Amino acid sequence: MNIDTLSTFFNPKSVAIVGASNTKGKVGFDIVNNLKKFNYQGNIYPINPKENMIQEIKSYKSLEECPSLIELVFIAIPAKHVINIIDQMGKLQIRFVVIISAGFKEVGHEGILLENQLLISLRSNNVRAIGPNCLGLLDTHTPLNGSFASRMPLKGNLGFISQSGALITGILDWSLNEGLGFSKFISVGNKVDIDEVDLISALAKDDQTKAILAYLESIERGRKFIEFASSITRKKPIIVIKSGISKAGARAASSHTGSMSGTNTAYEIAFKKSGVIQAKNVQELFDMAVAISSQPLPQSSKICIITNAGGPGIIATDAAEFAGLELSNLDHDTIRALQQKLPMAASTLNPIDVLGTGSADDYFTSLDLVLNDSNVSMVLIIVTPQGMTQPLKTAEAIVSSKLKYPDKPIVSVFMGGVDLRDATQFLKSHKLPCFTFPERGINALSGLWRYSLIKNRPVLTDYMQFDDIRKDLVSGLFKSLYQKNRMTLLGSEAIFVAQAYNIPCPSTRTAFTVNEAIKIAIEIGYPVAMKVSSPEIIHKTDFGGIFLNVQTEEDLSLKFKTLIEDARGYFPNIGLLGVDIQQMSPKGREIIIGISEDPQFGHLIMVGTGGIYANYHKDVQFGLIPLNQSEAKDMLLQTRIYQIMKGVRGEEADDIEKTIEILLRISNLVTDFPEILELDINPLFVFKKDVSALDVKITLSREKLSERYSNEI
Amino acid sequence: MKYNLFISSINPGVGKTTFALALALNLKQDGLNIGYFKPISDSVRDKDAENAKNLLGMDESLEIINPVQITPYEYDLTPEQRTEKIDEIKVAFEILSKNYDMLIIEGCRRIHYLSFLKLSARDLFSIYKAKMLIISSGADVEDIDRIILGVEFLRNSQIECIGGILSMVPVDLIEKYQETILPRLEEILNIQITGIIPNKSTLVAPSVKDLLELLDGEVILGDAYLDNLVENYVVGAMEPDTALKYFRNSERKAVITGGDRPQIAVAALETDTSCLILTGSIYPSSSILAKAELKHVPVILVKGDTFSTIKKITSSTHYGRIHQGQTQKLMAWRQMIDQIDCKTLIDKLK
Repeated sequence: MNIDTLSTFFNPKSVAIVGASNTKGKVGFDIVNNLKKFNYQGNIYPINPKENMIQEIKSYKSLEECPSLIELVFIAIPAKHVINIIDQMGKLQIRFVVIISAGFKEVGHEGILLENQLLISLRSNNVRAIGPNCLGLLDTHTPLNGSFASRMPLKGNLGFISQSGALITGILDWSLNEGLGFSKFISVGNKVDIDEVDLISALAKDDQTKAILAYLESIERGRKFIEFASSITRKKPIIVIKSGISKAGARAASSHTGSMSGTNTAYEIAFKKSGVIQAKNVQELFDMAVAISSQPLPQSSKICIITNAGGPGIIATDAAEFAGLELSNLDHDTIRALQQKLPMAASTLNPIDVLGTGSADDYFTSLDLVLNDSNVSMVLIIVTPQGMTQPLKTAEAIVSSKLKYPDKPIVSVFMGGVDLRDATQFLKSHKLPCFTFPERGINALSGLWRYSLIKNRPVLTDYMQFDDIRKDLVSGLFKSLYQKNRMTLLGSEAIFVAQAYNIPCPSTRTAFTVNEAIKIAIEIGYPVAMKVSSPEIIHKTDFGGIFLNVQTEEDLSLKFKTLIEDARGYFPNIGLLGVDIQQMSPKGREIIIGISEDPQFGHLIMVGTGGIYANYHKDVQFGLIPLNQSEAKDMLLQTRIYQIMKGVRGEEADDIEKTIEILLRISNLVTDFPEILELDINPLFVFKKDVSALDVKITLSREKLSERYSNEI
Repeated sequence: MKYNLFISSINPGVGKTTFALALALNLKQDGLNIGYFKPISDSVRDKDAENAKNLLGMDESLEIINPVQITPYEYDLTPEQRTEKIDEIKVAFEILSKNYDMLIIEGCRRIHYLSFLKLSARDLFSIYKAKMLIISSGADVEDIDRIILGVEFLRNSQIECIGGILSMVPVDLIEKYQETILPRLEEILNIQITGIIPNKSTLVAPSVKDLLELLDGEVILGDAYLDNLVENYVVGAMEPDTALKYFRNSERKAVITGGDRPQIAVAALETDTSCLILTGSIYPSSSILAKAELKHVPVILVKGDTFSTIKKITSSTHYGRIHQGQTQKLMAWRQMIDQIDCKTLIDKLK
């Protein structure tokens, strides 16, 4: 799967359109029309068994009849005939196709079967496909409008990948109004073959694309996405908008795509881990894109705001702080110079207020001084239409300042419509971002800063592999569970696994009869804790399934029977039922650590406030396996409980280092044994020195277990 | 073979019929000319004879394979009627004995069924020229007590009991049982416990097809997968983001949820689910169906709401019977029997 070869999709020397038509309104008409209208320079071969000419171009009855080599085919015929065309392509050794046709997976059962067959045909004929059920693709540099979108975007350096074709047409139209240029628009459709992972890789290698934008509803190849995006984002920004993040949205998305969208957290973490910027909404996406398209990256988060109106200046200041930007403390020299050159009443501290009387010169002066100040990395200029404002001249001043200081990003906010239209146009035509409201200008600058951080993030490859672990013990246990066909571990078994990875746990063994319990308690030593133990019981405390501090044999006996009876009362048909006998532990800070396998992205790990109310505290931070030292540390430091762990009210700090180590050991465990589907340690007691995992739950994946062990048996 | 094998059970629902059929098939595969005989059944709807006939390829009619039906409500059976029924059994037995080298004879319900009418296995045993094998569940002390009671019932009856099978024993406890329970049992009863059958749900669980009949549902997808076994039932009433976790803890499950809850359906399909039961007659979206197809999970639509559906499932004492073509379960039983020492058993019948 050589990704480089996708370039033929965007720059083919010749294209064929199967289903080309002379009838207006048909997709087969639009594609041919668009190719012509928007000046595609290569050879166009319309294919239609019934026509000789399509829109004044010679057409052919079939692909076979075409006189010369075709590099790319567009298909716009009914779904059931598409496979036939793919087979023909295979015979003719044509390797690339865009299937616009609908009627596949999206229509239901029959469509799914058809799409499965389509995939088989594509593979056996060695054809790469975009679609089906897509809008097509557009490339402004070639130029190539291989779609049924009625317009062509302006030439630019933004590449846009969309899982919604309809969104593209909307954005396209909007971009023409905005004067924002794109390099490529690609509608991915049903993703039978090529998906967003392939496309971001293709755009990463594309010199005409400076930034990759995407609208995504779902990502199937999550791990590959992270792998590729992680290295791409070091060179080019990827900004995505992911839909289905609200509860109702998630429900709609699930119904729409049939995939797990409840794992919104997984997407967020995956994006963060791979350096992908997740925009909150479509507007934010494009505000950032506009800036990234033309502006340099700032060296720091320090921003200077120049305004001719106090109010908007404060609004911008608020927005800047919320966006994680810092208002610069200007150099004393700068301030003095400003004081000299600006009117008396002007504010010379950040934000700089040149007053409603501010002229183009005032703006120019301020800009010049401020851009020269080493404490300033980026500038936001706000212009409101007052009586004495010179919008166009101010715009000119901004443009010349930019030429003088090309290395610092400048974003303008011209707050108005009619009076500021010419000036706004002027700025945009000189590739200087200009917005109508301060928040949008801040969106733009913060996007630049966010990407700057991502681009320069350190490359961390230190994934811990502990050498004091016993993989063989875990392997042996998992194998026997596979043979017994039991996927949920008993408490004592899960603790055994944790201990194999050198995670401190109190001694724990499961008893199935009173006599066994007595024997175990003697071995472990009183006092003991007793917890009902069964693969079928998740929340023990909900029905009093725990006794602590059991001191005597008599008490142990009585409590054992109580636990078993109560459990059977609640679960009359329960299969395996016993009691975990555990050494009593001193109390520590209760932390929860959890692992959950996300179907798309692999294992999610979480850490936070533990205890029986953990689900209600909802104080957890997430990460994706594998975890390195600094990721683990970041996760923990962002929890609320960390604020207490670090030592408050004169208390000593908890063993933070050991807690982080446990996170890394768990990461190691799950990397070694990906058949672990779910893992919960709650509570992990954290003491001033050391930790202890009191309760561990593990559930395995039968599929993965059988992959690993069915051969051995 | 000198004797036939009469299989009786201490309590219902332990796999007696399935065991009998699986054993018959195994022996047939080994070359024995085996027939099946169920002298008395307790219901006119009893399908055991039909199943056996099909599975073993028996030519005799169903009336011969299962000549007599006596339901529990015929407490006023007259002595004349009793004699009549015994004659019918004798006739059927003669025919089958002639056609087969060995018969596997299945008792009805429990070992003492119809003692009141003097038609129990003990009363009629002399007809069968057989020795007895008892199958019983052995999950707790009460089960074991019942075995002892059952065997007492046979004392002084001249019925030779050549072995016992303990079934539905929790897998994790098999070793313990072999150490502590079996020796004592063999000591008290003087019966060799021939084998232990673990509580593997593949052996006793109903199939989706069984469920379908019970719920009178409509299959909207997955006709090919109705043989899937259902070991657990989970109601999808939780918040979508916790669904995955709950579902992961339960295997070979039937998930019952409203058709208007796509995220629950998707989470169910993401995990080990044997079938999806959608209540309220609401059709799911095509993407959900697509996923179900991909995962080989049948989707069933039922008219009632979730509560009434659950009620139907829990209030019925349906046992997972073997239907023809229910190969998965039959295979599992046959594999199980392979591990039991049937040779010694058969030797005792020679």
